[in-house]
Amino acid sequence: MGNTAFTLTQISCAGTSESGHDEVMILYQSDAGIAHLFPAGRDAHSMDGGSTWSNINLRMEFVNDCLVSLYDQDSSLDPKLADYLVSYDYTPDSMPSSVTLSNPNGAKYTLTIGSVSITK
Amino acid sequence: MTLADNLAPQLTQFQHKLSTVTTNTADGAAGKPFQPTALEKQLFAETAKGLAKWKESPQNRARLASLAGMTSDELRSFFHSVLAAPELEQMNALVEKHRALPEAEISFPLKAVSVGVDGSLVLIIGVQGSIGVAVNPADPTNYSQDVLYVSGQVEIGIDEGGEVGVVVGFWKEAPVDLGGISYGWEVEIDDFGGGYVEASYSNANQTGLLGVSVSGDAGEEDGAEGEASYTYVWSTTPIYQPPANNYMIINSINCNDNSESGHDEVYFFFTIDNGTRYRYPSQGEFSMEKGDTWNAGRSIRFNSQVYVQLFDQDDTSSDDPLGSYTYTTSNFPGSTTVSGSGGQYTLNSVLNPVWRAYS
Repeated sequence: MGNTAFTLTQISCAGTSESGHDEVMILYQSDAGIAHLFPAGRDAHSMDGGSTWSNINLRMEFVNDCLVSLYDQDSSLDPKLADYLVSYDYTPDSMPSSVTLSNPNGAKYTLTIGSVSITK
Repeated sequence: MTLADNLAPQLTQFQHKLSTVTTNTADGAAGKPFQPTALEKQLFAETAKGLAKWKESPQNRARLASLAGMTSDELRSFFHSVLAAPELEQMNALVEKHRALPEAEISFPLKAVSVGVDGSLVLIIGVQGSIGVAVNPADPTNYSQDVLYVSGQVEIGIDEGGEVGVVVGFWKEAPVDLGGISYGWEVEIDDFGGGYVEASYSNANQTGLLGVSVSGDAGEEDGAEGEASYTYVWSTTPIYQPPANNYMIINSINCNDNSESGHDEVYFFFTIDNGTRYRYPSQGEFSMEKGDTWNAGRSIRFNSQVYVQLFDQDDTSSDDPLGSYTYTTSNFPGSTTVSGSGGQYTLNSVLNPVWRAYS
């Protein structure tokens, strides 16, 4: 089995899930294993329509898939207060350099990746 | 299996994160003076007194000594039982009193209460630091809202020494928001007695005071003033899946008919091999109406079967079931339609995918 690696470089927001800002957190999980939250702690990135979160430079590696989900932290990541925004499941056969995702709640985000490396 | 084995994924992640923290001491932004109110001083004093009393019991000391053999669920139950112990009854009454006061009469809002152990944990979980559970004080027995945490000082080589002690924390952030770097200072309280009180501060998003921790024994916390600690928290809502023989991905879900007017707020549970039940998304839902597709992309490791249950989240009553399906390796349709509560959805999944990119 091979291995795939890539870097999440940028997230652009074209619409938020609520009026004002989304406080965006990234939850990523490779091969259904350990999930990582970025940024750690209480440093969610505030985004609104037209804003870009650049220089994320988050390196991810996987064999089968890496599920990248964005959440709106609201006042906390408490399950009753956080909102699911969008997600994309990167697989070896689906590594778009840019993908726009939307949720009928109004959230619209574009994920940009680079430095894709596939080892057979 | 030991506790260290049970928590291996989280402890590995914690140690990795800890190793990347380069700041050993506060840069001056933290360490602001903390002036507890009279009620808060009483709360800290009663907590220290209650913890000391709790530890007098040979039975409780024996439970502390058995931590290394617990599962993570047993560890959670143990910490919940400490919080509910009769020795901490006065503390819990003061927590309620504090929560009922207006903002002007408290120095910080109480959004989480933690209980953990610290001291010589190297022999228990292989790391030097503290491990415990943090709960929502408004709903302390609701296990779905608690988190487990592990915390350690950033400077390598600090030897906390001594026997394992119990520490209780009062925090102005919700349980899931307690992770990250913090800096601790001792809080001097006149006529406090034998315990130890430490205020923690964070520079993240101008948090400032993060909370206060109380130990029953003076000297249990012996880190230097302003020294950095790193705390890793993980929701007890399970996300991590252990390795298994098979792999499936629920690529997408189509809404053929929503169950109610407007949108369904869709999420699903998946139960692996009749064991752990997971939720996706772990928080929140995806709004769907007839014709919508949710590219969920949820990967699942399993050995024999996966039971998937679709729900419509409902704010005013219990959530509405939208149908369910049990996947097995011998009965694995690429597409299957489920229905419930008037809604109809199609799940599109793949079993043990073979990737062209690797061939």
